[in-house]
Amino acid sequence: MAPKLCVLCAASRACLRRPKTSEAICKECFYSAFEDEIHETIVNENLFKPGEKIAVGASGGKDSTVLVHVLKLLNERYEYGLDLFLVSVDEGIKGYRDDSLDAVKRNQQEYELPLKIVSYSELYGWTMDQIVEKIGKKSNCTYCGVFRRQALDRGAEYVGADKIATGHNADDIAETVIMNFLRGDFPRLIRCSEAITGDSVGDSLPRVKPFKYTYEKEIVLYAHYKSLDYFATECIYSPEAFRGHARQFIKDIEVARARSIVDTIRSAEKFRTDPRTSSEQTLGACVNCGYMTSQKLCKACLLKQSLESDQKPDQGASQTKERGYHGR
Amino acid sequence: MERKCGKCKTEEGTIWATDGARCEDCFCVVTMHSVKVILSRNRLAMFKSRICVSSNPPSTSSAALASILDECLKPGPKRKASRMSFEVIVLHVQLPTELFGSGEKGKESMEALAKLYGFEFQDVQLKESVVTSLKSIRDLDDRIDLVQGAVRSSLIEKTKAMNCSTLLVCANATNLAVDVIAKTVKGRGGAIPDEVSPAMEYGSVRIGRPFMELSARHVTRYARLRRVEKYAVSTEFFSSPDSSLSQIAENFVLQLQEMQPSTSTTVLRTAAKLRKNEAALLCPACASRDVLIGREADRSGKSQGSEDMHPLCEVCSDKDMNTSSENVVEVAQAFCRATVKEFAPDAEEQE
Repeated sequence: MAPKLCVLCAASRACLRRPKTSEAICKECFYSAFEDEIHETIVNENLFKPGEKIAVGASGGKDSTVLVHVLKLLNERYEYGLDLFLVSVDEGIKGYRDDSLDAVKRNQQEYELPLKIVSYSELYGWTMDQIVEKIGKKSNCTYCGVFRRQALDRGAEYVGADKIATGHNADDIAETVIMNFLRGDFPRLIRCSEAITGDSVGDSLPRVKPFKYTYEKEIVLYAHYKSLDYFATECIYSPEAFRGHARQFIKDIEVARARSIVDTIRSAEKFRTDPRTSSEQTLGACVNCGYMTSQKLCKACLLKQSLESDQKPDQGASQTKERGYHGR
Repeated sequence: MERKCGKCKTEEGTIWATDGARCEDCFCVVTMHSVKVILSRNRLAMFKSRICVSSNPPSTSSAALASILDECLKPGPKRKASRMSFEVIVLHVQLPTELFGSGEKGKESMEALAKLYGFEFQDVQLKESVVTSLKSIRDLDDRIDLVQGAVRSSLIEKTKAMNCSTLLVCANATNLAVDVIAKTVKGRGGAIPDEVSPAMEYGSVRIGRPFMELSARHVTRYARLRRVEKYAVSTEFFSSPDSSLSQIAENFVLQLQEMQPSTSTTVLRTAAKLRKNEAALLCPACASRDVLIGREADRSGKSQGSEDMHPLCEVCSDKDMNTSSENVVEVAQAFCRATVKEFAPDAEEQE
């Protein structure tokens, strides 16, 4: 049987089947298609402006490693005129974060980009290991998510960045859409499919997602074929996360129909809020740390307070209007 | 330990619901009350009106709906308010098994159920050309969506033909939650706001969902107590194949519902906050309100014998030319004149 030719160039032998489109294509065509689609997202969604400083959230994992590689490549190829910086967050998880930070440091050397590492212990006085020891594994992801968000903002501010680029891919966004439906988190449901978030909110740095329509499997393939250096282990505290249910569902629908991941994002883009029910939040500064918040204390300070007291952490339910995981 | 009913406090509570133990009678009364509230708030069953009731799919929910409407029409010893008064016509679209239906068996069962309660029964047949077009659609989920659209369009057509202005469907909270998730993953998010309202307008016909606040479990319990479960010939939900997105969404929601009983209501409550797109047109192929005015689709559903152009929704337009596109247009053509032309009065003004 003759080897199958690439459907795009019809010249080279096909060596993979694209997860997004199921096309049998060669390596070079895959690189071109992958990079071109990301460039299209950047241009169509107006993610960057020339001269901007972009802090790339780098964890050492596949998404952020590929993001750094591709952004650097496209910045040079299409002359975006961007200044790229790496910002990494050390949550203090032994056997996980210390190894992935080594991968970030190697990336820093390879791509010759400045790197800033911010740690939970410096910012909050707690590492994730200590937090999990105190509260167990039930709500630890809530703490980590809130702390990491603030840590990333602080790291980006430190390097003088205008925007933060994260490696959230199409699978992540699709999972978030489903998760927000299940949790009844309507405000997040409306904004979770946007490629730029936070650009109109107080002093927070806008966050951009160049991988909005990029499949996780394709990121893995790209990293594999390009032999990129990344750390490939899941967080040791994540198996209990609620997101796992949504993740499994997304994997199941991807098997049935590959385009359903992008279709989920397209559906979410059509969601609109009724102006009569939506309410604008007035943002001020946290009285404790100065971070922007709609309440007196920011969420991170609230969580930190609950860790330092002997009270059961209420995750700020009495202070904020956010609904908890159980949606009640 | 014997637990008393939380409502009447006298009988033994044998049914455990989210709001406590209920005896059988009180459970039925609570169920009927929930339905009557939706019917009256949304003006779905006006005094002496004629209402059509869909018996698709011929499931436990359909049987329960017929039973509860019969109960609404009867005076009862505990009921103080005057009984409701309306005429019920049961409609059934006969679908072959290739189109996920129950065939002749479903029709006979629903006809027997209608006869049991003295309701008029009307059989609705899909045109042969529509059935052929639907069978030719290769993509499984596209076929499911278009079959559902064809059933809805046919029921609406028949409702108008029977001089009725209301069509009740048996979708319950669990069905709707599954539908929300399934529509999201199929790219039909624009149609969700319409699908989760207790009543939606289709021109001169209003489609009501009296079971939308009741879970599938609740409705099934009611059907068992009323002894109408035997009339159900299909599974509770649309009988879609295991490999379809609809079935995967159903399994996902049911699995989560076991761990978290409020899953369906949370999903519906969130979906209900989404803003309806008042300006959107009805797609003639899938009968969902997801066609944005001003968009020019690559292919349109032309109504037979006229030059009217009725665009398809984005999802129905985006079909591979080699597989289903022509069949989608044929289905759209069959329903274009009857449904879209009336349900999008502004389309011609826009043109």
